[in-house]
Amino acid sequence: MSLIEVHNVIKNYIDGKNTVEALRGVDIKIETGEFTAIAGPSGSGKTTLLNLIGGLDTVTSGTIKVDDVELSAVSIRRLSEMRLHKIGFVFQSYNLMPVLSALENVEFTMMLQSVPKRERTRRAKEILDKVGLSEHAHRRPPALSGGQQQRVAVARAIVSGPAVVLADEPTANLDSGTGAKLLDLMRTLNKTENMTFIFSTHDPMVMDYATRLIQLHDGAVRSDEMKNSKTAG
Amino acid sequence: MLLRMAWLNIWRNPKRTIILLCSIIVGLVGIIFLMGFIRGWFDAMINKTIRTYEGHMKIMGPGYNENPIIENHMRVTEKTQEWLATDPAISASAERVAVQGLASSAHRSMIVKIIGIDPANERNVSVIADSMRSGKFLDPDERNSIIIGEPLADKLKTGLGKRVVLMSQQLGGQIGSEAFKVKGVFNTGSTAYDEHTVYILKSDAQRMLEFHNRITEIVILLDNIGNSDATAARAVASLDNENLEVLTWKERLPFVTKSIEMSNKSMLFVYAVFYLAMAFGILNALLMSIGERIHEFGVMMAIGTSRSIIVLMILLESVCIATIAVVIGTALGVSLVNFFGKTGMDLSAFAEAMEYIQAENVLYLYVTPSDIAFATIATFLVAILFSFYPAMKASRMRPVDALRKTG
Ligand SMILES: Nc1ncnc2c1ncn2[C@@H]1O[C@H](COP(=O)(O)OP(=O)(O)OP(=O)(O)O)[C@@H](O)[C@H]1O
Ligand SMILES: [Mg+2]
Repeated sequence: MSLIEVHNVIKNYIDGKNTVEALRGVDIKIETGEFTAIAGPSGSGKTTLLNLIGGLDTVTSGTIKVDDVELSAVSIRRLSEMRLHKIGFVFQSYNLMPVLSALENVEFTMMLQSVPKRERTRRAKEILDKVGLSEHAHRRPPALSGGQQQRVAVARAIVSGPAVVLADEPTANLDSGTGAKLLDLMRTLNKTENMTFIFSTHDPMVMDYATRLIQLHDGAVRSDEMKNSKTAG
Repeated sequence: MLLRMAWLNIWRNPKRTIILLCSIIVGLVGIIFLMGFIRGWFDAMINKTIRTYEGHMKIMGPGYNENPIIENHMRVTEKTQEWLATDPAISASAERVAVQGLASSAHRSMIVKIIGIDPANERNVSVIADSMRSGKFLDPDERNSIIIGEPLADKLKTGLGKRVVLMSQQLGGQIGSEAFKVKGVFNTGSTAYDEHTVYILKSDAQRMLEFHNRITEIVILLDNIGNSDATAARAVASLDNENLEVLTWKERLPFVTKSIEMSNKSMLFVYAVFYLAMAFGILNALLMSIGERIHEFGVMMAIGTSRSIIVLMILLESVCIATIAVVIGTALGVSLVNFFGKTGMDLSAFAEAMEYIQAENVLYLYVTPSDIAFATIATFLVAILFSFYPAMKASRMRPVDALRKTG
């Protein structure tokens, strides 16, 4: 059993009269500890695939299993719980609750998990320290740079130890230097905590960090290769 | 943390929140003011009647209330006098002889209510002595004087110093008749009353009607209108074998109690309109604020926030708003009512209308704790009820659809 099993997934969007075939039969297995990049041109289905794995959207046909749970077979409530406990998300931008400080944003997930206040503050501080933001813990997102915001989002995604972190173009809104630093951070967490990451990108520099590169094209897997990562320092 | 988020969220668009707050506050002040006004108005209305003629309570001979003829008279016993003197709630009482009769001037005759009084006692229970337009109130030493209502004087074309002949049925069935000299003209402000009422000395009435020392009623004024029922109950208990009827103003004036009940019901409709206006304000503001935050809700759902937490957060936002509005609105509304409760609200400008509704010109507004509880709870209910739709709508979005909304 793999951590994530995507089996023969087809996803069609009905857009008015037209049907858009966003994914046309995708088969992927991902193991714990992988650091996978999903690459491909715009419109190739990267976001669609990540959303399906994260249980944000439903497949047209095929199956997706995360940690041996078949997503299409569970209730909306159960899906929400899966996202809370097993899956971390990092989006391209606007990841954070603007009214909460960095620290509170990280605490938010733990609050949903009913972690006691003391414990969650301690853990949130610890994680912010790990992503190098302890001085900015009390700032609100609008007072943080794009890179800092993404780090907070990564911190929030990993704080409760999910099985996998899904990041949809996490560096797309960052300059290359800042993007590289974020990737360094993710890779370090991947190595030190054995945290599984799947991130999408169309930036070759970002792909360099991956240990596995899946290329999508027109909704199908064109290539899938293990490779050497440009290891973080 | 959710409460904190809700609190912070409502201040993301301070202008909108303040406008919403203002509209709820204005509505609430309006509702509380109306409540106070209605209460003040009814009290003025009741007070007017009580202080003109009715008193808080009356003791009467059996059947007199139903059929006010002199055969249904009463006698004042020692027991009654003792009770009147000792009951703690009674502040004043007066005996009266009240009968229907005919008042005639040189010009014409009119059917009137002839009320025989003891001037000194009557002063304590009614405002008639203070309502003199011209001339003087009755004097116990001046036999066969009469005071008459101003409109009645006009109709009879009579006036101070002139003669008025009263005629009424005696206890034996004969017609008693005596001439009286107009000593004063009164105006209570109620044309209906003044047009048909004359006052003479009780002793004159008793003589004219061959009534000896009988009377028709004892009118009682209490220290507080709220004690009416309890005092009436004590009266019934103390005077149980005296063959008397004890009636509170509520029983004497059933139309007043009825009309209070009815207008309270119709006020509910007015309040409902106020609340509905509030409700749409809340609905509108919430839908707008949620519309601006769809992406954020998408993120919340993506990271595992359940639908119920999202609903709860939105409800908390409107509860926060309602709380602020209720605190400010109630404070303002109650201050306004209290202000007009102390200084009185002078409606002399609308005197004609006020006469029509039989109330005094100055209203003293007040609200009860139950009024405030009603206004407050209803505000919260409206806030919560009308947040449900936007909250459910937000929580039922699919995370993918919510996330696609950028910004
Ligand atoms: N909600 C939708 N309705 C209709 N078509 C959609 C919808 N979402 C995505 N698509 C279509 O599905 C295809 C795959 O889209 P997707 O967003 O997965 O691509 P992507 O690889 O993430 O692209 P990008 O690099 O631009 O983010 C595209 O053709 C897109 O137009
Ligand atoms: Mg995309």
